[in-house]
Amino acid sequence: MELYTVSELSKCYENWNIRLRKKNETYVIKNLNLTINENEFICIIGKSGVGKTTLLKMLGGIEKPSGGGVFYRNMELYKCSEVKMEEYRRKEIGFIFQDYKLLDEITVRENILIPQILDGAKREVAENKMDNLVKLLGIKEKKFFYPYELSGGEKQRVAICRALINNPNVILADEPTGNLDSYNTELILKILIQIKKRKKTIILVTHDKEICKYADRVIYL
Amino acid sequence: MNKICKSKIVHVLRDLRENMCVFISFILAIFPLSFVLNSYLLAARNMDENRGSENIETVFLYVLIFLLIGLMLILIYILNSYIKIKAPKYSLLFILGIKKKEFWKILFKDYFATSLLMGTVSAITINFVSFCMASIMWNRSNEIVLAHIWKIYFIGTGIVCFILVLLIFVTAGIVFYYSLDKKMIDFWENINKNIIFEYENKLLYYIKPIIGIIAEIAVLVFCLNYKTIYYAAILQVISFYFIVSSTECLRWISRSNRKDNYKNIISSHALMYQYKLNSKLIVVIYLLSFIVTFVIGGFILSDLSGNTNKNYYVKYPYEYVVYGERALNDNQESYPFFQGKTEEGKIVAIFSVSSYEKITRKKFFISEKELLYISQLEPEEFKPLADKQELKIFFDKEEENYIVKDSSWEILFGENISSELENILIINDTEFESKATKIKNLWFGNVNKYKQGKLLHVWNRTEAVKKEKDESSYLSSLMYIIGAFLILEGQGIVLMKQLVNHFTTKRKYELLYILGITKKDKKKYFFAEIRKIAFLPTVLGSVTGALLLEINYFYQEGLRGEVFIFYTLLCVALLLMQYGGYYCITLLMMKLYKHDLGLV
Repeated sequence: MELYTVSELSKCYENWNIRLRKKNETYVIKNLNLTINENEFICIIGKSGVGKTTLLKMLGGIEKPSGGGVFYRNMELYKCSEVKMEEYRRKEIGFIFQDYKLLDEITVRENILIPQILDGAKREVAENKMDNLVKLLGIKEKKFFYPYELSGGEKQRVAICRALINNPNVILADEPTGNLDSYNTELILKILIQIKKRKKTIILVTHDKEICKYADRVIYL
Repeated sequence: MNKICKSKIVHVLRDLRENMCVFISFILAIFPLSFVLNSYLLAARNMDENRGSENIETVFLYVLIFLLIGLMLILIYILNSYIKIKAPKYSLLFILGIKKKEFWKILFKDYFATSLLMGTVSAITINFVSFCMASIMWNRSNEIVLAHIWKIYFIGTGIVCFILVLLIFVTAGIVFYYSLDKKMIDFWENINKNIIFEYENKLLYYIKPIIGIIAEIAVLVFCLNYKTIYYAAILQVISFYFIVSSTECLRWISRSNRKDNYKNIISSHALMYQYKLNSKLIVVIYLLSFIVTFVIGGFILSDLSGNTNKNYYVKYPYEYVVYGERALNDNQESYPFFQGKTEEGKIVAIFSVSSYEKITRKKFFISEKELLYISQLEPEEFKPLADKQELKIFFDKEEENYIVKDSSWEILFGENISSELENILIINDTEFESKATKIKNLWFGNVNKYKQGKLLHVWNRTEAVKKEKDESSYLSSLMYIIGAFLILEGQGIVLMKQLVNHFTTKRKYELLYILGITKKDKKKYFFAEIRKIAFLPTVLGSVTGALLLEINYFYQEGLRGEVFIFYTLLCVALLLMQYGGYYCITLLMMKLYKHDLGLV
């Protein structure tokens, strides 16, 4: 079943050229058409600057396209209300980033709980979910550590826990193994495969061809 | 050459535009200092001959010293923040391998030249504005000697510029000193690093909360006596600093806050993190609101509680006081006296005991080599000689030791009439006749019989009260203006700090946006943060300042109901105004984040 339908999607950045005194338009994505099915593991691969991350952001509802549309289960994103978009990002999407994007000021436990707090979940429910996830990903003993006390692999596992705690349908991963060594890369990929087995859709952006062998489908940009 | 000069000017101007916030903070910080300085100079230069203005001069001097210390700290804080803005650029330059010599040149251009230009331009313009304001206000109650105006203006500008340049040199010197034995990359990287993760000295970790708690206990002890209220005020600020900058205290507050409501995790982490990151800012905001309610509020309260006609009739019981070397017509009602000096150099008017008996209409006995010391000044100085047993008095040609029979505060014919008549000595009649030289005569009553002349000084209560009321209203308006500027200063610093921290806090809101934060929640967190960082210290500063001031009044003379209500309402109004200001700053920052996230 189709989960995402992308039609004639374009993204163009405008900037002011001081030397020529005129507006410059740079297209990173132009007239892209794409469909993504449910429970698929997709790898988006391509050179730097081809718009991989931009596409991921547009799928995730955090970057408005310049043209075309993104449909999620027949609902056109960016045309619906702000409240709907917030709900979409909170309930349907789980983000994993290359630089982990953890808040250094709070503990691992609190970092993982953020999406549940934003979703208005009850404390006991949230704590239970968090406990199950940290046990599953092998970071139970690091629960009360601060992110700056963890290794890269552990940080990424915390980020995955945070992405999974609201039980989203889609996991958007932007070069999740970019900062990791080969051992941790393999570990994270195994975790992602486990996640896929739970009927989740995974869209992963990378420039590493080795990772593509884990994917169901590879999209070249 | 011309091109190089031009490019340097363009560079400085561009820097000025980029750092408009620092420039505005400079202006707001300099204004109260410059305003009080000009008022003090005007008072000191123009009021030499006018009686009663010494009080205003002294008040200005105290306010000036207080403001000078407070605002120097604020200016150092502003200059430090300015260096922080530049720190990421400097660390990058060192990563790219800039030579130290080249770096100092850049630092000179970036920091030194720009801050000097910003500082001097704001000092000159603000000094001009504040000088005009002070002159207009002063002119309402007293005439200004025009010849002094330019001199005072240039002295004022010179002093303000000197203080500013000195501070710029001091902060640059501190940067230079700290960077001497360190690797420059580490130094500049650390400036912008979140201090919460820095290793904290174990000793400091435990000592800070202990000092804070001990200081707070000392505040309570000092509050028991009105004479030590000022120590309590200083200790209160010190204790606040130690508690706010103590990791242990913050951890405890933050943990208990999170336990109550787990939804507070996002906003309560702001408490600990932001308090650690902005401990100096928080103390500065606390200090500013403390100054406004305690010092400025103190002047307003004393003005309101002292400005009643009843008080004037106590201070000045007679409509006319006439004294001088000329013999007065009505010898029966006039009292002879002559001048002497104490060993501290105080001028005293010496009367005979028979004159004293006539003035007070009560019997009093005093033997030879004994004296009675009366001060007509402030009632707080109840024992003006502080239990001194002996006093050496210098007469015209000789000196003599006396045993102090008693010393007290008492108004015989009026406070503040002349410096010659503030302190009075009563001695034995025979001794008075033997020591008296250059005798003057004093008369007082309610219907005047004398005219002002060369050898006769006529003092009139109606004129003196009018002048005192004018000066008092001048002083209160000054205090209101300074208070308003101190409040604006607090707002300016909060805005500047928010902009300086913008790049670090932006990260958090970007993440929350990605995680699907609702508009309502985002607004809630923004306001929770500003409430905790800026408004909480403002409220604490105002409340402690107001409490200490009211305790002081409670001990000394008691507060009239209507004055107390007015003061409380004024404090509440100020807090509401400040909350309004912080609200606007939050809206502005929200707009900025929205713009940065590409949502506009």
